[in-house]
Formats: sequence, structure tokens, C-alpha cells
Amino acid sequence: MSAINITNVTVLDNPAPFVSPFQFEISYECLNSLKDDLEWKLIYVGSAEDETYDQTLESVLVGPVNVGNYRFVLQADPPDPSKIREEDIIGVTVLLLTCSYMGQEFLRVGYYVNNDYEDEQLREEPPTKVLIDKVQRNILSDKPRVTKFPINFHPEDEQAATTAADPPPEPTDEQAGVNGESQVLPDQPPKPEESPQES
Amino acid sequence: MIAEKPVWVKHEGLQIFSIDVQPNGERFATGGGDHKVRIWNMKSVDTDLQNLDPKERLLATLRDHFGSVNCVRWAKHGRYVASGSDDQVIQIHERKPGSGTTEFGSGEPPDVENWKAVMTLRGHTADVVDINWSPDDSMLASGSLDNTVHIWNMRSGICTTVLRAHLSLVKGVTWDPIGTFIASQSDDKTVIIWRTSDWSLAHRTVGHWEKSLGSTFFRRLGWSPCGHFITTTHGYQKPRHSAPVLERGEWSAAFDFLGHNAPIIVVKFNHSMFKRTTSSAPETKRAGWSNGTSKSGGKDLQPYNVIAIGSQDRTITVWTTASPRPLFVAKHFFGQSVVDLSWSPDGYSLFACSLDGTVAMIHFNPTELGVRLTDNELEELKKNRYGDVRGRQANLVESPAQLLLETVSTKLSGSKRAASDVQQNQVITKPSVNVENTAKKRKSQVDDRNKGAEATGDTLNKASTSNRVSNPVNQKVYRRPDGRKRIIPEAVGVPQQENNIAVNGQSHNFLPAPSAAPGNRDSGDTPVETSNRDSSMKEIMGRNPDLKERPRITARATITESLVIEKVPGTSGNDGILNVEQSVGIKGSSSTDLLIRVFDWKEGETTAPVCLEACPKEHALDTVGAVSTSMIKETEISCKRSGETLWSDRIMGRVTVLAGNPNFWAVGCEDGSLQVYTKCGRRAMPTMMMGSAATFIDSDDSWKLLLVTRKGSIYVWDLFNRKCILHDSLASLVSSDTKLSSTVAGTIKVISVKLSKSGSPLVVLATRHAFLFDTSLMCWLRVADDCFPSSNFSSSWNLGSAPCGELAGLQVDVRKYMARKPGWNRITDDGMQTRAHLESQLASSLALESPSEYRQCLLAYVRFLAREADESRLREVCESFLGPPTGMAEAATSDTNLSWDPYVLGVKKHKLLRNDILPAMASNRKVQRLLNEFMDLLSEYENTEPADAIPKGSAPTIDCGGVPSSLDQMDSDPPAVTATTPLTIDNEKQVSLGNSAALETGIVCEETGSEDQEKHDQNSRDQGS
Repeated sequence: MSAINITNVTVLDNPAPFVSPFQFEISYECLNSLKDDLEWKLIYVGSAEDETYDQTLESVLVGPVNVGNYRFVLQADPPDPSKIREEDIIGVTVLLLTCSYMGQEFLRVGYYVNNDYEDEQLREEPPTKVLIDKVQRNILSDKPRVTKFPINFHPEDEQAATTAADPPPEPTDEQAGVNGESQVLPDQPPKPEESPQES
Repeated sequence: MIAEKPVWVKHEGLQIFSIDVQPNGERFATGGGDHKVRIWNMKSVDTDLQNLDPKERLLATLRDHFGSVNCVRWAKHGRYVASGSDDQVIQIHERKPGSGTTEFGSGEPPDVENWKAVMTLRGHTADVVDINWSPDDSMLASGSLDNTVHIWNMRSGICTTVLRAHLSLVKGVTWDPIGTFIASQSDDKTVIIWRTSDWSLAHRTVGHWEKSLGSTFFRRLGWSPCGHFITTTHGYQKPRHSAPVLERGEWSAAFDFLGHNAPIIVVKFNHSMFKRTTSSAPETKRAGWSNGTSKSGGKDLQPYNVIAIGSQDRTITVWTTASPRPLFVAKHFFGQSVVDLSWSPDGYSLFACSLDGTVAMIHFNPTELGVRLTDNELEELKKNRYGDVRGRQANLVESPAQLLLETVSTKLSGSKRAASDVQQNQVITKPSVNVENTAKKRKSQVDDRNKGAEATGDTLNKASTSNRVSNPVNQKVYRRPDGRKRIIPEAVGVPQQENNIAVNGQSHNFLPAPSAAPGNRDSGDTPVETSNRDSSMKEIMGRNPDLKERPRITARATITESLVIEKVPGTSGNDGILNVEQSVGIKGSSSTDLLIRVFDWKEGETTAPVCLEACPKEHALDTVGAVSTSMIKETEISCKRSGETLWSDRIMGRVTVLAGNPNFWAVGCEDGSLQVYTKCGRRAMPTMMMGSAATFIDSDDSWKLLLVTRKGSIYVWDLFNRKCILHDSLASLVSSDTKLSSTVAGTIKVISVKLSKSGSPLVVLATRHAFLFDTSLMCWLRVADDCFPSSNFSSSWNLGSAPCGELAGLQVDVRKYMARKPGWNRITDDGMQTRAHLESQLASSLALESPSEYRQCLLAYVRFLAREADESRLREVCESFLGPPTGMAEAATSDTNLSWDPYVLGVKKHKLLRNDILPAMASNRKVQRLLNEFMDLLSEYENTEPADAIPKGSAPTIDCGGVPSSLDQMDSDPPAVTATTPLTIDNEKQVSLGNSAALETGIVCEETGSEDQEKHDQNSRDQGS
């Protein structure tokens, strides 16, 4: 049972210039009070091929987590264009909104984002050097891809099973059947915050 | 007979594994391969009301599972629906007030009814395949592919018993309607009958399943409503597949339902019995067997059972036990195997579902099935045969003490959850009063709520939301001291309410699910402020980048993230075997400033922390007469309080570690020197030389200083007495780890070294294994590891009890680390690992001297032993807490008898025994003899001991500070414990008086509760008829 259900996400200020901050109004319901805060992250996927281009735009803690319905606005800076390969700036990419509890990711909302010039002429004849100030960002807000992962919200339960520790075996993709999606929305277990490799 | 196939009942075209009709006949639930449970409106399949609005057909979609839903079952009272799934958990759902929601991103319209998961039952280690509620709804039995049957207490959600005797996958469970037995059927081709009194195995039946071939999804067996027959599945008698029937008592196969062409998957008895009306044609042919009732009545009037059988051959047959031939055969209804069946409460409709993803309903009429016996008639029949059913539901209590302790144990487990919720208890007991109370508070928030209501309205209405210019969200954002942003969200709409929807128009607190009690609306709104203030306070006090464990008065800082100790072959080593290398951090941190803060708690909260800062400085030193200028590397140490510099000093070389507490400061340098300052910055001692750079440093609250050097030497000093308490090395950790990581033999990565709360050095490696140095044993103890991956108890450490337990923190780290490792396999635990895990946890918490964790672990361990009814271990545990026999104990009190210490971690053992261990044992009546024995012994002890036997020498086992404070905490900590002292004479007379009163009322409540429950059952049945 998920203690937290996301009820709605409204993308505010969309479409907007590439360099303007992101704003999401997130509504969620909480069925069981939690002791720790929720951690919401916004990740901009810089390149579909390479995870290292992912940029974590914002990471906030939201709490206290009590029973009821809540909402808040998540604001985040735009991605740093210098960290994105030039050829990847224009075009379609993905924005990930994730929610974790005690280091365990249990929810992931993926949005397609289209970056293009607003100016007709620029669009047809793109300059060799990207004019970042002229790029318009459009989030396809009506097509979120929601993925849930089973985690244990109450590890103190005596019956606590091993669920929390297991990598999510079969994440449920709500829009199962969209196969091409796997490339851009990889169903990977939550990323470790710090990654000390075993010696 | 009318048959229909509603095409709109579907699970996205995937299999439907289970179907069940709500006992009041208003809804039915299905579970499918799409991981969802769906609740449908019964009106939409009513033969008369075909033109119901299609939107009203599907009432709710429950998306809480992460695997195929194999089984859905309504409780008899109809309020809860339980579902078991491939994700190994069982979810209990309940209808909540308010309108339904939809899942964000699913694109589906919001649900008509607001069904929510209220409880999660975790414990199975493989797919849950079949579940069933006990006749009185107090328990739930679940069969799983982990070869076990779990019995769950539905008041607390705790697994009370695990039945292990099947040698293969358990695929069907059924309750005896009389409540004396349960039966389970497994792929090991046996059926086991279990006694519910002590959960012992009553009979293992081998029968016609032996020759069965092929595998089936389920083996859903059924128990007849009269209690006399168990019809099992998947039998084979040449040349046909059969449903062998077992008779009560002998448990031998009496006869078979024969005729299906493929294995039988499911059988379902009608809830009631039937009889022929006198007018209907008398049955001429009689089978050779009968129900086992007295044959005094006319044969025609003798009641019989009606049973439906579903098979892999895609057909359903309906039989009566009065005829050797099926009454009805349904062919060509389904394209694939029938997997579940359910009868409507009136007994005349049969619901079936199939792997082809469809369901079918077959409506009979009384001329076909006969006339249904009323509930009273059925009760009468059962009463004649088995005596009064009430009173034999559960095993008998042999002493009143057992009852008292049982209430205590339920309270204990309840309070654990309650602790997290605010004001929950009042809500449960007095909902009406509470409403009045809250009404006042609400006024102040009316505006807020109106806005909120609007908002929810909007969220439901998707179209309007997306376009709407949202009204500004009233949230609070601030930065925590560690630099992270934290948002306190705005509360919107109606929070989950405690008042549950009454099923039959009767609202009472029947079977309150503890996890379903999320507090009233106040806990949704007002506590936001208070708890927030709390936590922010704590953060300001506690969270600083560099100090983690002991926020109040000490601090430490280290540059290095980790330390690698390599065991170099002896030949190549020049001065020692050990060579320590720092792997990460040093290069990046060369310019970093180190900063620590120390809060002096004694001076009150208002004083700003004292900061010690070390900044590298480079001076170009012009030496007169020298040819060139030389660079001198220095580090400036400055001690500040809120901007004002208290003192400062300069040290040669680069500083690697800092530590401090109100008594002293310690600064370690790269060149292996260590400088100790007094509080005011005087160099208290000459520079100490360690030989290699200090990599980890820590200090306790008083005068202890811990240091680990690059070469892996570990020192603990008492600076006050200028004595070395410990000088050892981490070398033994290297050798212990070599076997594990064969790739880099002889290397370990250390990620943290610090003093545990009990004052012993605690080392955590990169593998997250934690080691504690025991100063009396003079060796390292491994206190946290990953040896028990399949233990049911893994990850069960809570971070809840006020200061997060030390062991818990270590455990959580291990789990997190393990979680990242690839490779996940399903390991079935046979109970051995869980036990071993608990035992090692218990020993570890003792070594760490963490009393609250010790108590918690002890509780869990005793509960586990009680559940497994492991009498010998329980006895040993109890004896160790009881101490030597009374006579000896007296002798022991007079002189120093070292053999038995009446205290453990500063807590009196008898108190633990009385308040924790014995109540925990009460959860399983199988061990009640043992329990009574120790109750008697304990009371004997306490009678012999003078009532004012005050703890002699208060903390006998503890040698260092820190624990006494936690001792106090123990006493005041869990409210339920002190308030539930059973029976025996307590030291404080008034307390024990008050307690006994409380206990009595507790029992009264319990009884009224059960009366309510019976009434409720009665009602629901009446309603049904």
C-alpha cells in the first residue's frame, strides 16, 4: 500500500522560454502519517543515450507528512545548457519528477519536453550555435507517464517483509505497451545518493 | 435459469483470477492480471435493472498491488475486502467517506466510491495465492507459494501463526464454518487439516490427488456450510478428473465429484443449505451417502448442500449433495480455465471468472436448486450437530491472567502505531464528542477549508484544472541548516476521516484496523504547525553538515570520506603489515575549510553554537637574506561564537580532522600530529605524534577522544586523566573481510569511525558492516551485517522511537546498501534465519548498550518465539530474566553473587519480564502453560522481595555516561507499558491500583466489542436474507 498517492500535477507557466524556471503544482494525498519528510526531485534528462547528462534541477523535502490532502509548488531552475550537448538541446527530451521516502523512490512521473525555437525562421534554419535565449520549452503536460515502485513505508512493522530492500521487480507502468518509452524512461531502481562501490 | 456474460467486467483484457460477491449483495470484487482490484456495482448485473447508467457499473479501481491480484475476498461483515497478490502482500481495503479519486496519469475517470487500502499484511516471501476470512472475521488465512499458510490477526494486522508442513506451493485455504479447523491444499498433493485451537496439524490427507497430472493456478478447496464436508480440487480417478470430498472427523476421502475432463481448479459451496419443497417432485434416487444428519425427518425435507465446481476444461458444474449427477453443466462459457467462483448471498446466483478475462453470472430459481434454508435453520442444524458454536471459536483460556496479558499485548502492539498519530485514541473511543470539539477549531479554519474544498473539486475535474490559473498555494519554504530546501505543503480539502462508512447503516467501532486510524481531521491540519515547530527546532539544533551522531555537545569533522586499509604482504611492508590509504576526498578537499559547531547545552538554548574553523593559509615568507621566497603552508584555527572570535591559533601543515566538545578541542594534521586545546584555546599538551595522518576523529561528551590514523591504528584516550584507554588496530577487520571480497583481497574501506553512544569505538565499512570494539573482550564485534537477507525481520528497525536508535541506523544503512546490489532472488525463509537474525540483533543491541532497541528487539524476539511456539527457547529466555530460584536470589542480594545480575542495561529484568516478555508471550495460547508457570514464579519473587527494594547501585553494568539518561527515558518512554502492569504487586501501590482499574475497563470494552460484532454479524445476515 502506498501511503502517498499523487492526485494531480499541474505544470505552471508552460510553455515558457528555455531559461525560465520550472514550476509544478503538486497535489497529493497521504493515507498514513509518515515520520520522515518526502523528497521530491526534478531531473532533466540531457541526453537519451547517456545518463551522465541527467541534471538534478531541484531536490526539496516536503513535510511533515500527515494524513490528508496537500499541495505545494515545486520550483526549479532551468537546466544548465553548458552541461547539455549542443545537439541535444533542441528536440524532445524527458523531465522526471520523482518522489522518495527515506531514500527509496516510490513514484516517478515522466514528461516529454519539446525544445524548439519560437521564431519560425529560426526553426526552419537553425543557427549552428544554439541561441539559448530564443528556445521555447514546451512540456507535454497532459501526457504524464506515472511509474510506481513498491517500497515499505513503515519499516518498523514487525511483519516488514523484504520488499523495501528488493529492487523493484516489476514496476508497473501505467501505460504498459508503449515500448519505445523504455529508452527514455528507464525503469531502474532508485539511484543511490552516494555511490561507494564495493572494493 | 438465466445466464449472462457482462462484457464490461474486464481487467484490460487480462486474466481475471478471482471474483467475490460482497456478503450484503451490493457489490462484487474482481482481481486480475493488470495488478488491480475492481469493485463493481451489483445493480448492474441484476436481472431487472439492466439499464443502469454505465458509469455506475465500476465503483472503484484499487491500484495498490505491484503484481497480479490472485485472490479477492470480502470479510463476512462486508466492510473490508482483502486481496492477495504476486507482490507477496495482502491489502485490506475499506470504503472511506468522500468521493473517489483516480490515479494521476492513468487517464481513467475518478472512481464512484472512495475505496482505500487501510492495512497491508507483509510476511509472505512469495506470491499470495488464496486467502479466506475466518467465520468471525477476526482472522485471515492466506496460502502462498512460499509453502506456508499465514494466519493474521485482523485487529492488529499482525501475523499470529505460520503453518509450515506443506512441502510445496500452497494453493488453497478454507475455514471450517464451525471455526475448529482450517484446511489447506498444496502442490505436494496433500490436504492438511489444522486445528485452530493451537495451530497443530490435525491430519494430513493423501488421497486422489496423487495421480493428478499437470499444474494448476489454484487448488481452491471449499468447506460445506454444514461443516461436514471438505470438497477438494485437482483429484484424478481414471479416466476422469475429480473433486474428492473429505468427511469431517475421519478426514478420509468419502466420495468424488467425477466428470470433468481437465483438472478442477475451484469448488465453492453455496453459503446456505437447501431443501426440496414438499410440492416439488420427490427425488427418487438417493445416493449411497448422505449428509450425516439424523434421518428422522422425511427424506425429501432433508437439507442438502449445493456446490459449484470450476475446471480447467472451461466448464462449470453445479451439484447438490442429494444427487449423484450434476444439476447443471455450463459449457462454452469461457475460452480458458475457470479459476474462481462465488455465490450471491441469496444463494441463487453464481459468479464465475476465467483466465480468458471474462466473468459470467448464472441466476437460478428455487425450482432448480430447491428452497434455501434460513440462517436460523442453518444455525439450528449446526447447533444440533456440533453444539453451541459460540465459545468454541477460539481455544480456551486456562487462566484469567492469560486474558489480561492478551489485552496488554494487543495494546502494546497497538500503541506502537498509535505513537505516530496525533490524538488518535480519543477519536476511536469517542467520535461524537470529538466532532463537537473539533467544530470549534474548525471555525478558525473555515476559510482555508472552503478554499480547499474548491481545490479538490477542481482536481477531480481534470479539464478545469489544467487550464485554471491556480490560486496561489499557501506553502512555507525555508532552508534547513544543512542547506536543503524544505517545503511545508498547504493542506487542501477534506483529509481522511476516521468515521467510517457503516455497512448496514449501523456505525460502530467494529474491528478497528489500527493502521486505518490515521487520526482525525485535526491531525491533518493543526498538528502541521506543532510538529513542524518541533522538527524544525530539532533541525536547527541538530542538523549540521559535519556533526551527525551527537548533535548536542560534541562535534567532529573529517575531510576524508573513506579510508582504505590494505593488508600488504609482509615482505614488501617496511615498517608494518598495515598500509592505510585514503581513497577519496583528499584531493578535492585540499582547499576546503573544515568547520564544526559545538552546542553547549547547559548554557541554555539561546546561546549560539561555538564554531571551530580551520582554513588553510599560504604565506609567502620573505626571509631576509634568502635567495628565494618560500611558501609556508599553515592552517589557521579559529574558534568563534556567532561571528565573534573567541580564540585562534596557527598550526603548520594541513589539518585533516577536527573534533570538539565543551571540554576540549582536538585538531589532527596531515603529518600525523595531533594538537589538543583546552576550551579556551590553550595548547593543553605538547603535540602528540601519531605516526601517520589522522583520518577519523570523534569525542564523547566528556573527555574521551577517539582517533584512527591512516595506518589503521585506533586510539582512545581519556584526556582528563591523560591515559590511553585503548590502542588497537583495524587489522583484524581486514582479515575478517578477506574472504568476502575476493577481488581485492585484504582491502577494506572504512566510511566512518566514531564512538558509539555507549562509548566504544564503532567502525562502519563501505560494505556497511558495522563493528564495535568491546573493551572488556578486547576484540571487535560485528554488530550489523547482511547475513540474513531473507529474514522476515530484516529492515524492520524503526527510526521512530524518539532518538533514532543506533543499531537501527546501522541496520538501515546495510539494507540500503544491499538494495543497490544487483541480483535479487527469492529466498524462502523457514523461520530459522529470522530467528538467528533476531538473536544476533538482540546481542548486538546489548553490545551497543542501546536499551530501547534492546527492549524492542527482545519484544520482537519473544513474539516470534511465541508465534513459533518454541517452548525451550522461550523458557531459557524467561529463566535468564527471572534469575536463580528464590532462595538463591536472597542469598545473592546479600552478598555479591556475580552469576546473575538483576539489571540489564539499567532496566530491571523482572520489570522487562513482567511488562514486555510475558504479555508478548500471551499472543499465542499454545504457550500459555509456560506463561502461567512464569507468572507464578515471578509473583513469588516479587512477594519475597521487599516492595521497596530500590535498585541497588543504580546502574551496575554501565561504566560510562550516556546511559543513565536513556534509563530515565526508558521509564517514561512507552506510555502503554507502564499503564498496563498486570496482576502482580507493584512497588508503587497507587499505580497498580489505577492499572487494575484500567485493565478491567479494557476487558469490558473488549467484551462489548465482541457483542457488537455478533450483533453485527447477525444484522448482516438478516440483511442478506
